[in-house]
Amino acid sequence: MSNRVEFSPEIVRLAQARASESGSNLSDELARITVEEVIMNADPELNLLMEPDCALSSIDSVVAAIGANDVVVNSRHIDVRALDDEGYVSLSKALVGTPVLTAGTLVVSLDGSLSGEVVSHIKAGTWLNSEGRFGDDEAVRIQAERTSGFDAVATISGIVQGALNASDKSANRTPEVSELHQFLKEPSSFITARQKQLVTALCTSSEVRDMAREVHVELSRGAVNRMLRAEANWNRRTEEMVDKLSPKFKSLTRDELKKHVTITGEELGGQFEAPAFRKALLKRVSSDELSRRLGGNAATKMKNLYDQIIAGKSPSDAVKQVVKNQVAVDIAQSIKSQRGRVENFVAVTAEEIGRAFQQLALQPSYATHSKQDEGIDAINEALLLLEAGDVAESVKAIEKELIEG
Amino acid sequence: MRVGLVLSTKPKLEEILAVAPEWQTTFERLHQEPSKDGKARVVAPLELFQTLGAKAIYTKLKTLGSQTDGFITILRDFYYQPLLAKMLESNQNLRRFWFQRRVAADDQKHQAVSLSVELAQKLETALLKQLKLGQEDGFKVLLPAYAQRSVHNAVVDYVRNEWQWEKDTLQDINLDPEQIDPRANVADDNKYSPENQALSGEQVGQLNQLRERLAKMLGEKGFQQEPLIVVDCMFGMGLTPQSKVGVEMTMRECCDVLEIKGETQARKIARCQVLLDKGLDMIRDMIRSNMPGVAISWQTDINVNSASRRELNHHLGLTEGEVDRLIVGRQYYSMSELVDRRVLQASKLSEIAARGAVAAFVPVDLNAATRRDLVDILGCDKEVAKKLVELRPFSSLNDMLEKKLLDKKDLEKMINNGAVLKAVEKEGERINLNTAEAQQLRQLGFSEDSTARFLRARPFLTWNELEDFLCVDAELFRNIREKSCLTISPH
Repeated sequence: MSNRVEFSPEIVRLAQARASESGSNLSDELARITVEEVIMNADPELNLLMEPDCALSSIDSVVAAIGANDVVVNSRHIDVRALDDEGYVSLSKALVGTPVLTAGTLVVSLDGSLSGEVVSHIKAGTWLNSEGRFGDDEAVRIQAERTSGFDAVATISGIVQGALNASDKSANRTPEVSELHQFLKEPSSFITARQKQLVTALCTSSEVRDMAREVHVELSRGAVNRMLRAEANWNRRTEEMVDKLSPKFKSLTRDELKKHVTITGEELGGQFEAPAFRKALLKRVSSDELSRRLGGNAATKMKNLYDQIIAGKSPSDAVKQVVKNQVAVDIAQSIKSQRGRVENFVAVTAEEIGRAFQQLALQPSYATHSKQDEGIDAINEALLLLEAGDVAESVKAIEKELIEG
Repeated sequence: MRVGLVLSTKPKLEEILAVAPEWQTTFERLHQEPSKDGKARVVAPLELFQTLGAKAIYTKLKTLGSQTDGFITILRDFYYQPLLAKMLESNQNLRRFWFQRRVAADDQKHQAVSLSVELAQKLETALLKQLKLGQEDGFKVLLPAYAQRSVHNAVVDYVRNEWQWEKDTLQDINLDPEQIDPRANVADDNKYSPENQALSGEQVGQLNQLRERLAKMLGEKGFQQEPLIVVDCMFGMGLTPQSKVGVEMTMRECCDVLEIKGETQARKIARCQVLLDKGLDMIRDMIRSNMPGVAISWQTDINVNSASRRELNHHLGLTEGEVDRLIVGRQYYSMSELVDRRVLQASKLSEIAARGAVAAFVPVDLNAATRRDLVDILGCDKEVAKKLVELRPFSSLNDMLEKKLLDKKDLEKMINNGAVLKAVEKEGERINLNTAEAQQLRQLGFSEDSTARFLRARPFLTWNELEDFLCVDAELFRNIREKSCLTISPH
């Protein structure tokens, strides 16, 4: 009878999903599947009947808490462990000396996720003798060697033919629900001796097992994994959004932009393509940007113009509607283009006006037809408005980019 | 056993004992055994057969002559079927398969009974064959261990077939099997990430809080730093200089980047695994202590904006009318909108939230979306959706207007419902492993065996899962990772 089993890919994937969800060890899951398959392939006359409902490995909360990995054959628990790359097997101290280990451990050597082979059997005494060498919070780890000519089915048959041990007396003291919950949630809060009693109770009493089945694994390893992946994903999206925003909203730091993105996400979810998200974020960012560039009061005044540009008007047309002095708008545009990218609004200087006059060849008419102070005010107003227009244009560009990525 | 009791009837037992009066003694012994609850003992035919044993039943069968067929039918219905149903109900692989697909407990039981009936018929045939051949060891097919093996094999076949069927039809995701799920590409800017997912506002709030707390833990003396750094690198959270934002490292990469010590690569990986587990446990403890109530949001979720009718109906328990109203009103930014917009009554909201319902806006790529999503998520007219699929790809939204597929108003409506337009894939882009053909996989360096195994085992959601499954050497895996991607999958 072969000790080697080839794994079906589907079964490996189910085991992977379970390991990821409950936090169990995939190698041990595959090792147990190996033993289960060996038992299934044994001669039916040997009458090796598995009782999956009695196995602690069928209860997620128990697996998550103490790494139980047993099969139950004809009412005998048999522990199963995968041999690690260094030739060792290990298990929780809570299991040593309990009915889970009375029949010892079957050791399985895995060939990745392709196949497994049952290679030896560790007797209960070996675990008991090794236990003292490890601290209470440590796993018991022992070296396991491949037994030449090992016959897994004969070993299992030998185990099931042996006398069935009487239930441990500790099983008579059934744990209370709250105690069992506490144990499954945080086993280390109990001394090892009590942990062993509780494991014994789980092995011997179907009522206690049923109680354990009711214990939902609070925040399973799988849920933590999902959260961390989502966190990494959300952070990446945030960073990418900040990359898009920062060249266009230069008055705001990356941290400030990131704060805007994270707060908007809390209100409207984590998808930037969502219209409500897009609009809320850009409104938030542009309003902050305008306040920085123009000062709080000016920003409020510019809101009307900003809305017009967002609605589709060109910035210069929108500005010309607000500023009566059309020439001032042209001058402001010229000054703005000479300044390049200035982060905050700066009032116009005489030198800048002079350069703009030269560029536009405006001096005679503007000088003759305007009072100097009025002209400067008009130019400053136009400059402010154009700044607001810049912000509005950036918002439009980003909106388009988000829809047509 | 429960199924057996349900099917047991006194007349059936009388019928059995009339055929085999010598079993009366066994029956009476069982009948007189004290029952657990102290009431009169009800002996089910299954119990009687199990007590008699396979050899006794088989020996009797050989002597029955013309009554054989009738007795085999009794064995099929009152021995095999309840025995198999019991075994199927407790089969761990089947339980896991159904659990992952959120099959309700009652449905599980129903399906187990259905499978047991089919399997009982097969075993009946096998028994008849043994009798016909007059085999001495023919009793073996009556042994519980034989039934156990049959159940095991049947479950493996069932899982394999169901899995393949899901992949072939993709009925829960696509109407058009040749198209990829749009959510694979558009829920996230980085389409090569396997962790694409829509996030609700509540979830984002929790993630922001989580990040803040993790950043605090990193750098606080009370916490071991190495396990947290490993988690940071493995998940690509970008909290430490070693971690790159959005790049999930494999165990091997993590060992290299963090220079984890160990005499052999296997030892390094083992050490890395220990650190990862430790880090995850530290984070889990932190979440439990500081972020109560978070667990519920991350156990399961069904996004009301993208769920299929079947999911809304079967998994969330919505009526047909509620499903219709919900789909017409899509999309929702929060669960409370379902009540505000009169899709559901307020009393139902907590009920569906408890079943894992969330509302997270789903962007839909017009260049890749299935017709179903164009209709059910964007509210697109069926005919327009059909034309849109035929005419795409589009280079811009204007392109759609120029091709007179839609007018501006309709387009704006679709954009408001979540339509986006992503760049069309260019040649030479990475191969999606979850949909790739065998030949493409071979070109990536998969062996013939691993291709066959991989095709059966996919979809994969993370690189680490894939690495664990393939167990190929580091260089080959690096090559695969560089040239391919994993997109989100329906299961």
